[in-house]
Parts: sequence; structure tokens; C-alpha cells
Amino acid sequence: MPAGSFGAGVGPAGADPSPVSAPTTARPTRALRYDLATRRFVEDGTGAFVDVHPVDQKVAFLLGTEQGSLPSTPTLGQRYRARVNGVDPKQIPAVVTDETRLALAALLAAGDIDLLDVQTDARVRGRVLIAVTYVNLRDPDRTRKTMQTQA
Amino acid sequence: MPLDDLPGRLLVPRRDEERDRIRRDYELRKRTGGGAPVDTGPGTEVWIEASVLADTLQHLHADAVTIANGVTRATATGDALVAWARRMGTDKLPAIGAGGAVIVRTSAGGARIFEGDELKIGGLRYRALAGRIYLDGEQVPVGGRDTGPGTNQEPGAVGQWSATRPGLFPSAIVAEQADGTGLTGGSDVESDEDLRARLDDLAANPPASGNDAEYRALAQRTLGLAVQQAFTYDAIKGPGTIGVVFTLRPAQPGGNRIPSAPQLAELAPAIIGSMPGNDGVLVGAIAANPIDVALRISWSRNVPGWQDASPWPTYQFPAMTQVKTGTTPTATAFRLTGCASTPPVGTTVAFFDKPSGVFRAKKFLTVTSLGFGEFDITCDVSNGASDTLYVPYPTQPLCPWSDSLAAIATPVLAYFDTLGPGEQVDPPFFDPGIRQRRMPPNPSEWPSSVTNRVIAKLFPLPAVGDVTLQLPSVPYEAPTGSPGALSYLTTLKTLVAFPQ
Repeated sequence: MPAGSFGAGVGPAGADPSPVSAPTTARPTRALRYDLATRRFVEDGTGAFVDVHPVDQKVAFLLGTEQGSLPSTPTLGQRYRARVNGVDPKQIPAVVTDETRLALAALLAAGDIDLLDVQTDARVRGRVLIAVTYVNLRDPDRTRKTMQTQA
Repeated sequence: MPLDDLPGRLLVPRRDEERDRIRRDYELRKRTGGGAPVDTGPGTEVWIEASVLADTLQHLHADAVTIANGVTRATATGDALVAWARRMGTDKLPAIGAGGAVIVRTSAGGARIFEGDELKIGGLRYRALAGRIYLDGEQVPVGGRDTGPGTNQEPGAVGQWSATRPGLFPSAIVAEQADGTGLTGGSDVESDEDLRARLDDLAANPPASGNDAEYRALAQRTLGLAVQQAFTYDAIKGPGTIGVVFTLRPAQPGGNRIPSAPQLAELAPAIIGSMPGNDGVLVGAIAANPIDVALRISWSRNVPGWQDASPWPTYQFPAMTQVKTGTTPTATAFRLTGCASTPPVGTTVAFFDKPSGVFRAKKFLTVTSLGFGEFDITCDVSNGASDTLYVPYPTQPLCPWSDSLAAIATPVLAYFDTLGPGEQVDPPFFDPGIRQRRMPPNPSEWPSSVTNRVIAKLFPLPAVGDVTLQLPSVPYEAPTGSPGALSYLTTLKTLVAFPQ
């Protein structure tokens, strides 16, 4: 260990301050991105959680959670599986659209999002793929976003 | 000081309070960091995680409350209370089978019945308590081998002996006791409330060296008897004598608490054999002192009120409208006396069915005046307008019907279960001590007098807006019994309620 960086009489004897690092550019996330396919919070290449707008996170929770599966919040989520079970395949798009509106009712009523489109794919027996397209009215960029889930 | 008036129980946050605390902590931390206000409302990640965490913490809070309650026996329950009992040298009393006597049929020379011989009534098992030769028509004391309130039997119930004994007919009939009951005293395991009261009595009156408290403790530990509370009268017939009476644990609120003769006979040897030989132990009987309770009630606005727009009858003192004595009422036809006004056809009235602990509705179909305030009534049985099973007894008073009457029966019945027998001698007593007085002391424990406490448990009922006690005139003291032989226990005869 060197005797110190300061000349005699300039700083405390033996002091060896490390050089000041560059200011960090990291900022806390507003909300974590929730991936409906993997049911995990998404991380980027550095291991940091990916940031999303809180309204987008709410949409992901509502569409990715089956109502009743979280006993602590029994009203959170959608009932796609319960409602499409046994329904005539021709009726599935209407049922899914209605259930999407019900699940997102609070966000729609609050003017947080605008629901643009609900697509369903029931070609594989026993599974319905669902794609919900919406725009986040609280996000300044107002881009169309699509969430995919299944029943 | 505020600390002098703590609630005496551990307060823990409810689930929603816990969730909101977590949300608030999160919001504060975010704002302290200079961020904008954050949304932690329903559907957000914070909300979900706080809800789950709050649920998880409830188990810890529940454990904390259980442990805190066990710190004192006043709030201990379950295993913690049993642990308290064991530390004080006793235990929770087990379930008990009913006891009483059955009448046997034998051939001319009688039949020998052995102690423990089994008798079955409707699948429930009983055993003979005393073995000897019984003659035809004699009563055999029996006790329940099975336990619980279900072993109580009405007089006249027919049982079958399991064993065949020479000269003994296979069937036997439950004998009627002096108080009109058959086999009584069947009880579930001692409740936490009963055990706590017994522990309090043990602590306040430690049993030792043949004192009165030891007599009570022995009586309450008698095997085969569901003793609710034993009472002693020290020196009741002079020095060296002690009177002992006891009540039974009621099978349900308002159930029988008065021991039958065979149960009294069962207690005496259990006590006498364990106590000093020169003590004069007098096991006394308890006689019921049934009284009517009349209330005036205002129902709360959000519950059904009185059925009829003009409720009939109104409260009258001293003689209420009642079923005429000397008549034979049926469930749907009876004669009323003491009517201040003509009963309107279509009126619905209530009779209190004490054995069931509920009120029974009777709707008047026809009303025939007999003069002098007497009316013959028949009831409308169409569409279940009237109860068709309960038969009111002569002199039973009635009151207007309200669907909300159902709420008041159990608290009043439960109040009478807290009464104890009265004194066996009239005051004044020898001294301020305990000689000839009933112990536990009256009225601080097991009061023998009816007071305004009878309506205290009615005020918290959501159905009751206000209530006043009309009958009896309080304080109503139980009559004085007979020294060493008899105590009176005030019981509920019937309950009526009128508009305030």
C-alpha cells in the first residue's frame, strides 16, 4: 500500500481516496415488465429488470392472472377458461371480448387505456389463444401494444 | 392513566390494516427518494404483494393472540386452559352420560341385576349402577355408558336389557323423577367457560383439610356426574355438619340443571368416603322455582317488528292474558282468560316453547266470546300460519308475535343457567362469616336472585333497540329452602315480550 496520494501537509497522512467514479445512469423502474408467456418479470442483458409503464403492468396482471388463482386478491384477473369452457366455438370470440372488457373494466372506466382489438384462435382443441391490442392513454407515446395470453 | 385501562387483550392489525401499512411504507419510501406519487391501488404489483404478505402474517398474529391469551387463565382457551387446569391440580371434565332410573318388570320372586348390566335405549347404552335383587316395578338406578346430551331420555322411553337374567323381563321403562324428567345430566365435554369458572372458584376458595371448598371440589370431580357447580352450606345443622347441593351442566341453554334422586344418591358415597368420618354430610336436593319473565321491547328499525299493525295482547299487570286454567288446550284450540279487549281475528300471537327454546306462532282463525274476558280460540293452520305441534299449558301467558322474538330466547335461557340455588336458612346469619351461608358466596358468584342482568345480554343484540324488564320485580330472590335437605333454584317458566 502506498504512503498516500497527498503531498506532505496537503491532506491527512495515509489517506488514499479512490478516484470518483462516473455518475450512474441507472434509475429506478416505474414498474416491472411481466411476461405472460413465462410468468416472470423480464430482465435485460445486464440482469436489471425491464421498466414498463405502471398501466401496462396492470394490463399484464389482469390478463395473465386467472381470477381466483391468487387467494389474497380473489377478484384480480380474468375468467377466460371458465367462460369459454363448453361454449360453441363460434361464440368464443364474443365471449373472450366480453370477458376482456370485464377484466379491464376498471382501467377502461378510469380512462387509462383504450381497447382496440381482441383476437382469438381456437383452432387447437382445448386451447384458445388470445391477443389483446390496446393503447395506454397515460403513456405519452400512445403506442399500440398487444398482450398475448391463452385460456 | 391510559395504561390503567388497557383492553386486556393483545391487539393485532387486521388483514386490510396490514396490507395498507405495507402500501403506505412503499409510498413513503418512493416519495422520500424524490419520486412522484406512486399508484399502489388494486391491481398494482404492490397491492398484490401486500395482500399476499398480509395474509401470510395473519398466521403469526393469530399465534401471538393465542399465546397472549394463555398468559392469564381469564382469556386462555383450548389447550392453554387445560394446561392451566393441570397446573392447578384438576383437568377438563369429560363428556358424561345421562343418569336416572328405569322401572323393571320381573317374575314373582324378582330378578337379580348385576352392577354394570347393560340397557339399550334407541341404540344408546346405559349400565345398572347398583346390583341386587329387584322386585317387579322397582326402580333400578342407571347411568349412561355412552355420553353426551343425546343420552338424556324422556320418562316412558323403553329400553332393552342386553343380558338375560332369570326372572327379568327384557324391557324396562325410564322412570319419571320428581321434577318430571327422565334420564338427565348427559353432557358434552366441559366447555372452556365452565372450566374457567371452576378454576376461578378453585383459586378463590382453595380446597384443603376438609373445608367447604374441598367438599365442592370433590363433588365436581365425581365420576359419572356432569356437575356444573357444587354448593355447600357450612354448619347448616350445627357444628360438624355441612350441606352439599349441586347443579348439572345443561345440555343446551335452558336445559335441565336439577339432579335426580339417583344422581343425588350417586354423589353421597363419593363425598362421604373421602372426607373426615365424623363430618355430618347432608346431600340436599334442588327444587325448581319457575318464574315468568315479561319484557317490553322496541325492535331495531332494520329487523322485522311486530307482526300485526295493532299487536295483541297488551301487557297487563298483575294478570297477563293467558290460557285458562282447568281447560285442556290443544295445539290449535285453547281458551284464553284475562283478555282486556276482544282478540281480533287474524291476530298472530306467540307462546314460548321452553323445552325447545323457541317461540311458537298461533294465528287466530275464530274467536268466540264467553264473557268476562274469556274467549275460545281456534287457530288458522292453512299455509303454515300457525304452529301445529306445541301445546300451551294452562296458565301459560302469551304475547304478540314478531319474527325477531327468536333472537331473545337463547340469551334469557343462558342467563338462568348462571343462577345458583338460594339459601337454606333465613337471614340473619350467625356471623358475617360463612356459617350456614351458601358458598360460593351469594350473590357475587352464582347469584340466586334474578336482577336486571337478565336483560343485559339483550342490549347488544342487533334486533333489539331497547328493552325493559316488567316481570319479575327485581331483585327477585329464590325462596329459602330447608336446612340440609333442600335448596330452591329459580328457573325460567315462560318468556313473553310486549311492545314498549
